Amino acid sequence: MSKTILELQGLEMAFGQLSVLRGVDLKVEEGESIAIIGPSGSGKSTLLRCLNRLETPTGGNVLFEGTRIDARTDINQLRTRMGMVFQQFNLFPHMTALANVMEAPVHVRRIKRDQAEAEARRLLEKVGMLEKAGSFPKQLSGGQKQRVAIARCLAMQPRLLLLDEITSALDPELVGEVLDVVRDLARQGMTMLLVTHEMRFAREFADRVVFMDGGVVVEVGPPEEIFTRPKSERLRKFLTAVLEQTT
Amino acid sequence: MSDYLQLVQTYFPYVAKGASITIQLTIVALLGSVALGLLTTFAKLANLRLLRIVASIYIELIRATPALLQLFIIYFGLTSFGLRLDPFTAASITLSLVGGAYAAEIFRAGIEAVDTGQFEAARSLGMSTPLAMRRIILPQAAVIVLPPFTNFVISMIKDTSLALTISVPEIMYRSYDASSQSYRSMAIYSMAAVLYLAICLPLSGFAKALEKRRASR
Repeated sequence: MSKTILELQGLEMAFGQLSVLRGVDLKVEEGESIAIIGPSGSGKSTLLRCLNRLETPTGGNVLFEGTRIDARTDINQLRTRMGMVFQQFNLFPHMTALANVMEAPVHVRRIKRDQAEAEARRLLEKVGMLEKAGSFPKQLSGGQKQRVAIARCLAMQPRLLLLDEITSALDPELVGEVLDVVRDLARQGMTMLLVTHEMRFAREFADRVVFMDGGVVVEVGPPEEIFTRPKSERLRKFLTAVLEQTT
Repeated sequence: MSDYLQLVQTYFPYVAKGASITIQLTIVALLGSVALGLLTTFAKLANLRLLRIVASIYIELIRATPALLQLFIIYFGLTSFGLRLDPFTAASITLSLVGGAYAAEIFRAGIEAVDTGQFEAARSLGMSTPLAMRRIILPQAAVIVLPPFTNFVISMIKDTSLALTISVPEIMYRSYDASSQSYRSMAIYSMAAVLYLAICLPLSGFAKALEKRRASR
């Protein structure tokens, strides 16, 4: 049943002299939820940003739905199929929650307003934000903003979601409501790459966990393997450090 | 005192007529400045190096020379190329050129003050750069830019007085004229001051209110 939706081959990224990704290989199957963990500076966020071309990789290949992404790829078209949710939400502050969700369908996909609005309301309901449809971002809590941001992303009907530390900017008591939404999406078969510091969530939610360090994938495996039987010294050290932090 | 009233009666209508010219000149120059300013801003933010260089040269040339000199070049200087502009047109062009350079810097600062995450979010939803600019960045930049832009408008109003030197019959020209007829400089120029205050003070109050509103948010 599984079909490869995304494949990275030796992906490299350098900012000037600084090499951030040093050859990342990874295959993602359709419907898979993958958690990417690793120390800060390991290249996790850069990896996501290279996938939707917010950064242009300096080497290697990305194949998305069987097609190689290169200079000839229509990047705007690609981005409509690959949604991204940010740590800082990045909601459009001059628009209501509803308008935020409708913006790209109306202006990029050129869907009729009433149709886009109906769909936006359905998505806001899905993330539990329908009653705040008329609110502006500054009137919402962090968790509420992030749920609207997820709905905004879903409105483009992406085939793959890139979630970049989406709970890192939230107060601890607001993390749960956002993760609930992500959990629902995983259950409904959305393919997701989630960069996260929430180890417990990664363990519970992910089909596979990717451990990155120093710009490479050090270990990939089912959560049980990664968290209870780490093979590499680096992962063992990382887990110890993280567990110390949380206790 | 009655003598003073007499003077006001005689000269105020004449000087006040200049206010309408001052306002007209300001409006034309502002339209020109905004158009030129936006063009220059986009040129400065463009990927093409040549455009960025042209925009920078324009801004630096304007900022490093007095507006009066630019006015004389356009009004008197261009005649040597056979271009004879009427005074109002020459003043409009000069003030648009000057204003465009300053407006460009205000606009650029406004655009750069919008969080980069906004642009990334827009682009990651599949928006093209122009669409992201129009729908997401510029509406936010406009709010940021409003207070400094209001100050810009006020200095534009005052800069129109330069047009006196090429006989555009605005407030300054008419008060200079009236004062040389009446030999009552203090009284006449006070009238001019009242006129400028009447135009500028409401605007500067508006700018202050805007800044207060932004600070309280």
